[in-house]
Amino acid sequence: MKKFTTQEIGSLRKPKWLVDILKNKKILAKDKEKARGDAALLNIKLLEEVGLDVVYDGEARRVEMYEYSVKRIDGMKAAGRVRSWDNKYYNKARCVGEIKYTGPYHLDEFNFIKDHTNKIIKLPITGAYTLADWSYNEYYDSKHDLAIAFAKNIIRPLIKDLVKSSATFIQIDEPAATTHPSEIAMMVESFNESIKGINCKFGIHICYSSDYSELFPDILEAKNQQYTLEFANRDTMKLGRNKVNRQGYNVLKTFKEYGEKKEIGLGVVDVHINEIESPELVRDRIIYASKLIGDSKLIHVNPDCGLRTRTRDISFSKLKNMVIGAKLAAKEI
Amino acid sequence: MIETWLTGIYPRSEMLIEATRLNVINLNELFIKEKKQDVQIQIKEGLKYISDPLLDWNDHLRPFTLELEGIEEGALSRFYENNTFYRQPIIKNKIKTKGKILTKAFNWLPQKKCKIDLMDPYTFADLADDRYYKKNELIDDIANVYIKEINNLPRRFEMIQFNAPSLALTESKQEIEIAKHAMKNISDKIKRKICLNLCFGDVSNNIDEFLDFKIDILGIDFISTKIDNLEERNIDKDLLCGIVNAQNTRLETKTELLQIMQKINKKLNPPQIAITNNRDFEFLPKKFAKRKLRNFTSASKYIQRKLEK
Repeated sequence: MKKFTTQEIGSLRKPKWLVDILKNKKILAKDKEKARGDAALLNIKLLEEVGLDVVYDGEARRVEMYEYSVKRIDGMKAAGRVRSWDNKYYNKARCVGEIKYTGPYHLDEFNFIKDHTNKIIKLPITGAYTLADWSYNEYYDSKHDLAIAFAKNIIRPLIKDLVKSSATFIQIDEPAATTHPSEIAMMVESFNESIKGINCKFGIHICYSSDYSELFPDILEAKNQQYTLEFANRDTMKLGRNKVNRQGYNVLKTFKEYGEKKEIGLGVVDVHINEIESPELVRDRIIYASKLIGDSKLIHVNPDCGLRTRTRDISFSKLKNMVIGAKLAAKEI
Repeated sequence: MIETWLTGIYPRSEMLIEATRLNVINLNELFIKEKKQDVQIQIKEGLKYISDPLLDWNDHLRPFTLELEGIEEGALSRFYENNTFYRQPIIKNKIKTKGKILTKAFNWLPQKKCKIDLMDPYTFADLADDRYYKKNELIDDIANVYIKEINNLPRRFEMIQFNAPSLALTESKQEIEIAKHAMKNISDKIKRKICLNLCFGDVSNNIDEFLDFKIDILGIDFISTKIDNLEERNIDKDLLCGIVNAQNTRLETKTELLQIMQKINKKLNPPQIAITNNRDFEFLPKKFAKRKLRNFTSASKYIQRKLEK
């Protein structure tokens, strides 16, 4: 088995030509769809070219991870934009009725990718808990009821349809997971409800937690095979394999202490800075993390989060160095 | 008379959101224009105090993070349990102010009774990455900065509302004591009405300690603090009731708000009551914030009539 499999997390910034086409009101919907397909294909090939082992399409067809999903769910109604930080915003929706599945909203993009790559495909899906956390709930009695409704009524049938179409690796994105430490159990329950009875490899992506140890012990009940997590954001840019220079990864000790044996998709490049991590820095991060976990086979390598926050040039440069860094680490271990 | 006013940062309109995204040349003019419109709405709705909607503040601490000596801008950090982030101030040296930050920010407000919203010194310190002070020293110095800043404000800024999420969330009596000392220092030196607004947390366990602060108005987020957990008593401070949920679009009915206010009155029997949003309205798109503002100012009159009966 290959050491330190490399993968992305999900989103890439859309190419300017695609944005221009999508914004142009004179261009027909079918032509816009074709342009999205072109961008998806371009992303797949660029991700292959930098040498990733596991690919997707940079979420070229999706507006944004939350909005894309809720627009396709009955019972949800657009509310408007709210600020995430500074001049960055995201669209929120209101749950105004019983939420119902309207069809496999990621199936077309998945089938397209399947037709255009021989690499392993990891398919990202926004998770039930995050959908609930980022929505205004005007219908269900509690947030818990809303999260479980998303899991049972939407995510489970969606995954079933994707697996029927031969998806083998699905990453459920739960960026909201650590927003409310007291609700980890709710997140895990909705995750398990989402995948109940389905045979597939499941990852869970969590990011920007102030402290991953807050996930424990509830997270141990989640029936995922892989965590993909952000670490580089909290690390230093200095080379080295000591606990000071590699401070962003020290929390992995908690995983070890709890005897967690699931794969770790290790965030080794920061998606919020333009500075491009050197292959040697990536190597040191991987080697340090491997030592903390005590089993290098559990370590997979990825950016902290989706790279849509950076320009495409910077994103692919980061990914390229990530792949080289993973190879350097593999040589040493 | 039940009073009403707004708490915290008010949302930007869709037009302003787009302008900030595009960073248009006349962005400052657009901010001022929309702020003036928002203030007109506050006046029309009969709010007791007029406040800056803070549309141009990127977070509650940013003007201080950018302008105080001794502070540098740090990483984006999660703002409590929200999908909202702020730039963490890194305290690298003794903090100092020339005393012009607040006057520069708020002098444009009209000649009405005004209030300003600030993070209380404890919360400011808690949200910062302090690499210079001991925590209590930092809190004291933040208080000193505020004193200098507030004393430069014209007298029409009658009330200072210190929003205090970290204080509402702490369980440490010792930390509350440190915050109390800083608030007393401010209260002794600014000669304005002070509201300590304990938003984001359940304060039922520490309400006695907070009632002991040298402040005029105690604010409680009654979405987070369960009224049933409070013991019955007669408090001697005015009460700001955060009963309007700023994190859900569902509009509260007048009857719901009345029932909550009846319970609060029975439990705490304050000399004077005001109603506000439980936290910043910027967690809602603007059209819903506007609806909620209209709704609670209208409901306050209904509640007033019912409570008088």
